[in-house]
Amino acid sequence: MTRALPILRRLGALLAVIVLSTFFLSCLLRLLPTDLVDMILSMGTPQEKAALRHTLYLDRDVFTSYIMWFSHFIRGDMGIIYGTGGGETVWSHVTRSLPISLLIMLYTQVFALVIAVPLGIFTAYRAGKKSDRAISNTLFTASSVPNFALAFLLIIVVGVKLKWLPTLEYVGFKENPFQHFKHLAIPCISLGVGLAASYTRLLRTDVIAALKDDYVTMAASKGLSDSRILLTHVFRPASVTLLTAAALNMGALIGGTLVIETIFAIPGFGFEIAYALGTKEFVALQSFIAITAIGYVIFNVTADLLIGVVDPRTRGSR
Amino acid sequence: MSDVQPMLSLRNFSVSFDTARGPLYAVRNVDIDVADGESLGIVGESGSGKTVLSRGAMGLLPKRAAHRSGTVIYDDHDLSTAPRDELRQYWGTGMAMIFQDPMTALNPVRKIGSQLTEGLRVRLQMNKHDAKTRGLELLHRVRIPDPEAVMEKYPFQLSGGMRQRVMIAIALACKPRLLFADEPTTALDVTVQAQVMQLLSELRHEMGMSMVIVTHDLGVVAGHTDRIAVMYAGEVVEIAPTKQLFANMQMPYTEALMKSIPRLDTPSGQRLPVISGRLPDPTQPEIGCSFASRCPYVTDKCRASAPPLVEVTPGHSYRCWFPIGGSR
Ligand SMILES: Nc1ncnc2c1ncn2[C@@H]1O[C@H](COP(=O)(O)OP(=O)(O)O)[C@@H](O)[C@H]1O
Ligand code: SF4
Ligand SMILES: [Mg+2]
Repeated sequence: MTRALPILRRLGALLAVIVLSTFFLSCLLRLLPTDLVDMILSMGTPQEKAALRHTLYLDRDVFTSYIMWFSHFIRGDMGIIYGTGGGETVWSHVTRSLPISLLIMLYTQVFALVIAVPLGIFTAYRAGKKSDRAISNTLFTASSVPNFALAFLLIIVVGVKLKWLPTLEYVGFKENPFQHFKHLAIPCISLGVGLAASYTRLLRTDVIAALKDDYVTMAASKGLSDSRILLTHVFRPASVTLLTAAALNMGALIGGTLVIETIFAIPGFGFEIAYALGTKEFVALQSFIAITAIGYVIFNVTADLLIGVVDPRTRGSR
Repeated sequence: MSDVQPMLSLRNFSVSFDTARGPLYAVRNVDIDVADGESLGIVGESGSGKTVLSRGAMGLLPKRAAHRSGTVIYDDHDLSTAPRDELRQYWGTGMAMIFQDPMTALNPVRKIGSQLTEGLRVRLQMNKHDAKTRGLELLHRVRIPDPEAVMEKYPFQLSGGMRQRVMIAIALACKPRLLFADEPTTALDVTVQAQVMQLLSELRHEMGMSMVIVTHDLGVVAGHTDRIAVMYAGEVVEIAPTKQLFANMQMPYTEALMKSIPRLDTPSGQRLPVISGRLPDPTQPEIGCSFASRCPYVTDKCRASAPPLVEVTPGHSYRCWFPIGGSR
């Protein structure tokens, strides 16, 4: 009961954010410089245009049309891609492209964490020493390079010059797992290096602070080894911050993923958005952006809930 | 203790820290012995260096920030030069510590059970089941009701008194020969304080261990120690068998501490005479007696030169040019 309440409150806030952002999009569609219907059916007869206006709920007032759109949207009925002559639904594009983007985000996070956890602990343990400074400075430099610049650098060096990794297109995991990872390596590394650097920095700060805590001295006074203390006493509390950062970064990662996908011609969600923008598929775009907003909110709420699981102090009290 | 080899022996032991304002002298030229089975009190107001002294003796201070000098002999081993890996062999079994604040000394995100049993598993190589059985015994021994449930709890779910009992159980887990108890009752309610001190005394007798009780309250250790060392500004200013100290104190600071002990007949809420003034700045060592700035009996001689440690009767020494018992 007491535990369910904060979760319910969070879900309420989640719903509010989703409704507000999608309603805002709905209003924007009406404010386009050219009428949406004229744009899609520039050669259509008045009857055809009226029919389309009805399908797009544009013949109602803004609230009714929004509610109608939303009730269809949540059921997966998002209309069609008009450029394909009506042959393909928006939903089919979502189900095809969204998993690819989510995979890229997942791989990027895993890559960043796998790099950051050992480096963060190691640099904290050796804080101020040469090895710490060398690693910390390198990471700081690497993190100040923008994703797309790093992507181009890796394409040129690793892809074109050394020919180690492919730089274009996408291979599904089921088609060929090896090729799948090979094709996603450069995109995920380009996205993940900055994250890895910021995670390392976070973890390092946290571990340094934790190492000064009394419970670490207490653990030492039991006669435990340094490595045991680092892992069982220091890393766990420090990982709370790290996990929060990772979950919160999922939201921020959305933007980076969309850009990277267009660079590498990966048919993910970002590619779909860019395509919809370029071909003025505003009906599809409305749903794409709504999905992005929903993803963003869900990632943030999940972050909060995850913290509760890892840090018992926050359980129930939030 | 002259003919018997002490268990722990500090000689000319000093600790200083590097700070922004230059070196901070936290502990200065301390000579202290702890005999087998003995209970020694270290008393002094907050900031006098008691925690640094006890952590320094165990070797628990951060290596980089704290500079130690002098010797620490445990049995026949010089621990002052021993590397951390060697010190670890003594921690938990040879020497253990109860920390000042059980809220910060227990890991907030790990269950009591795992914090209690990890020492048993690592140091005594117990298996999971035996360690748990022994952990439950320990919790029972420190009079924690429902040990099974407490094993599964996190520190923040326990009361202050329970946390302190848990910490005692953890410190005693591997049957240490010497226990440092750093302000074991300061974080507790007055009613719980006496119970915890009583428990510590019982456990010491039962296990035949030596104990160093660190406190700012002379009243706390009066009935629980064989000897008491009074610390002021990083120095031992008087050390004597407990009875002797109460009956025949020599140093004005000891007298001032004595006056600030709460008595049963003190109306509650009435403020006790506190020693006016503050400890001297530990980054600016005094030329004369370190207590000169607050001593009611101060003279020019006190300010000009520091009194040496002199012995009145065997085992009773003090630092003061004009001791209370002497002719003033
Ligand atoms: N890690 C540290 N760095 C710098 N100064 C310290 C450190 N630890 C303790 N000190 C200083 O050493 C002196 C003695 O402190 P402490 O031993 O904690 O006193 P007590 O335990 O008697 O209250 C104080 O002046 C304190 O500020
Ligand atoms: S030496 Fe002087 S100042 Fe110091 S305690 Fe004795 S009387 Fe007081
Ligand atoms: Mg202290």
